[in-house]
Amino acid sequence: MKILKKIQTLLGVATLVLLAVGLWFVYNAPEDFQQGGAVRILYIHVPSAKMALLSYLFLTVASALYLWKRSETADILAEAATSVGAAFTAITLASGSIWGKPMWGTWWAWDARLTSMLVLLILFKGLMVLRNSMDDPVKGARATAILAIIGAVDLPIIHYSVVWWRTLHQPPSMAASGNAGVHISGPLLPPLLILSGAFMLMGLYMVTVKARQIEARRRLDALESARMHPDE
Amino acid sequence: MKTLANKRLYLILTVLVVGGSLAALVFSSFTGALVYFHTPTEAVAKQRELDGKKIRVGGMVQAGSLAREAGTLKIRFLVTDGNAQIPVRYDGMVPDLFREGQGVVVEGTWKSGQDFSADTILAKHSEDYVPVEMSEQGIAKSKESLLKSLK
Repeated sequence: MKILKKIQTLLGVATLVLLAVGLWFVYNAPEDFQQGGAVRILYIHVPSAKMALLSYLFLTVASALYLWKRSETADILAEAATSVGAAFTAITLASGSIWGKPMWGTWWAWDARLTSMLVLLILFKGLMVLRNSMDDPVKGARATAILAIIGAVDLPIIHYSVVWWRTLHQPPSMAASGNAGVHISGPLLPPLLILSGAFMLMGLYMVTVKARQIEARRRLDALESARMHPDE
Repeated sequence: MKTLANKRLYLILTVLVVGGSLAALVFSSFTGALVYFHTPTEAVAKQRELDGKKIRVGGMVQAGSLAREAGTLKIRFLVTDGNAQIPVRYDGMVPDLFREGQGVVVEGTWKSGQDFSADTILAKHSEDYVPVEMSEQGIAKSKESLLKSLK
């Protein structure tokens, strides 16, 4: 975990720089042929959505590693990724809602993409509650890891929802299959690429900070319980 | 302070909510309940079955079909998927993106022999984002993408 302390500052500075560059590009991006200036919500919405899914993927891998190797580091990283993923999922849902009202004419629609994304938020929050509801931290960690792995079934559903079913939400603008190719033209594209990178760094930074905080808290808890029960 | 009973309650509630929503999502994936709207072709084919029920139909606002009643918010237009067309009536505010040649999802009832009576209109846009200077290219692209997503 010491390595996290070292890379934390570096990640933080890199995130800030890339965010600033990205936002400068967003500010100077042209208007969309149909959506006008509202298209700029894309630059927050899409990177957050990518990070929400990536966080869950990270969580799934860390959970599997924990169950396999019983490594506490993996469990700490899983717990950290849960909070970070929940934050990105909430930002995705909120920014999508704010975008949906003027463009689609509604804050919310129960289509496959929106519904499966809401299930992801319920999963993240549920994993947090599950961990806290167990008195024995080891049992809590195991139960959480198992539920996290089961919940991973939501990831392909979210990703392919707009391809498998007819939805109000449009299909992906950058896809390797299906309607392959990049559907974002000219100067509208660079801000998305830069901010996707910036959000990725931001996610790593957040996981780093959160993991160090969780590790410190666990150590304090261990000290406290040693003080309360000196005979054990 | 969280008591033991409280914690158990939290645990049971969490498992119910998380497990329930996951199961519902996976189940509805297989039953087709996640399909948000019918295409005009489907709606025409299944009209007897859908008659008078609250349904959603998605397609494109046929170019040249939009008519407004002067002095009111009443509009009339055709929804098409390039194959079948359905006449729609609506009275109210429309979203910013609602226009001819654009994607639309109408929610309401369709009684046989009448126009589709919409009580909600949602705009559906394509995955294409194009700078305003390249509008012509954008319109052609988004029309193609929209028709593809109506299959």
